[in-house]
Amino acid sequence: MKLQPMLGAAAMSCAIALCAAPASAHHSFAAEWDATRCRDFTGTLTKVDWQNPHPYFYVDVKDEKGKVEGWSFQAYSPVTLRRNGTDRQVFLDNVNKSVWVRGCLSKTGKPNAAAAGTLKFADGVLRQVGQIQD
Amino acid sequence: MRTFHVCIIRLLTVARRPVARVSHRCSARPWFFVLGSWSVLWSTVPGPRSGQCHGRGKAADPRSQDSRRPGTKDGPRTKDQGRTKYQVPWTKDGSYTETKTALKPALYVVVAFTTGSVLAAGQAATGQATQPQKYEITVMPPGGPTPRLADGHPDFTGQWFPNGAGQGVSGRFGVDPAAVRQFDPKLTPEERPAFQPWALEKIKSMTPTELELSKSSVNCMPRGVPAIWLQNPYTTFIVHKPGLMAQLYEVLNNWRIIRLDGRPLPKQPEPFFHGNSSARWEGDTLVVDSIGFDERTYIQPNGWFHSEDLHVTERYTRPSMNYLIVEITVDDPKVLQKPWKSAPRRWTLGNGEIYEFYCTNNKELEELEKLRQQELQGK
Repeated sequence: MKLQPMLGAAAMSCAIALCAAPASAHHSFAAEWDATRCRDFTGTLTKVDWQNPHPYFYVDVKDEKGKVEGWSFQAYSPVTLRRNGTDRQVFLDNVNKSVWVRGCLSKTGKPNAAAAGTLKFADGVLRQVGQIQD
Repeated sequence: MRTFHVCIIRLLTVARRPVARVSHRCSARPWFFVLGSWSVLWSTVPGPRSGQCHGRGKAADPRSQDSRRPGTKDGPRTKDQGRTKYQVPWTKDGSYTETKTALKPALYVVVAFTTGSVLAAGQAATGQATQPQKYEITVMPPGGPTPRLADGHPDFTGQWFPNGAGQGVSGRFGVDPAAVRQFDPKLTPEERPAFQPWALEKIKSMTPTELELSKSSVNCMPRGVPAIWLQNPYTTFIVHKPGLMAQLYEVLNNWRIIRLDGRPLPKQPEPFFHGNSSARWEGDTLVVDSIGFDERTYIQPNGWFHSEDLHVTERYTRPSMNYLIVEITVDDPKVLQKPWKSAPRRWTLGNGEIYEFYCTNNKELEELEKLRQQELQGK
């Protein structure tokens, strides 16, 4: 029955949202990023700039027509990422490998830039790397 | 409809004992919303619940026989059993007690009927039986008596995290919400600042982006005092010796030295981000008065600015080994109609690393400045 997976997905979303609630960062996501324009990205991790106050990682995203575009993603601070188990080495180990990212676009319209909320590397582990907005 | 009744009956009759199989017909029906609420309500009754309608019908885990109903003849009550939420309240006088607060049945009715159906349906979809929520990171226990220095005063030395977990909790799954917060507003509500009318107008006139740009977490300025205790998600290491307390802040690799030798406040203080401080002991409470603050600091990241007359009082207590309590009083008559007092905010002892955190590659300012220009053009 179709209802079942749908409700399951809804429940999982609620669970993620509840887990994410206490993880709000130290400044407002809403000021710079548009929570109404969030989407999934699938591609290949190409690089990570591990820096304060926010690391950026870069993904070659392939659209439905096969066109590849480079995107940059802002993440939590390095300190936060280290403490939640997604440190620099995890990113480095996954360079040139596939990655799935859920992120939200910039309010300024900056092209190919997003704030990452969650991601999955090839190991399939769901990792929170930024504020989750949806 | 018959299936619905069968499910209810099964829930009420077999939920307390292991069952070999439950029909998967119990799952995925339109009335599952009702059933889901019932199952969550039922789940509030402590005890093994292996007979719920969770879809695929599987044998009960034999280990469930060990998790008998707590507080009954079936077994002794243990800390982990039942629906008892353990919290670590901290009283205003700095004393420490561990209490347990039973969740009210009426609350469950509301919660169950609003969220229960979705959660139960999710469990049905994934084939999981209802189990009490397990958190990987929970509230720290008291950890033993207050450590003391040779002079008999409490020793505040330690690596402190601004939560109840004793470690960083931002961006982590599996954290008990009770371990995330610095205080429980139900136990120790924190009043709202009573701004002078002109100050409130000034704050309200800030655009969202101006407000964002005013935050030290965004503009990379030192948080200063008292914001370092009110809006700092990172760890602070305190080194405490007789006559001296060094506060080493992870954020921005910043530090502050407080002399505990009774020296008075300066009459003509220089404006510092951390102010000019004078400390004294009131019993086991270290009281630190500070004046002379850099005008660029904000009390909280909501536009709450201060005047040159800002007077901050910090009260430090360590009611047990694992807990540091910091209470802040902000006295600023030009900005506030009356002094503001924070809730007693808890910090818990950790033993992890302190990382380098120089805010040297801030790309947000550029983007936020673009947004600010857009806002100004729209005005």
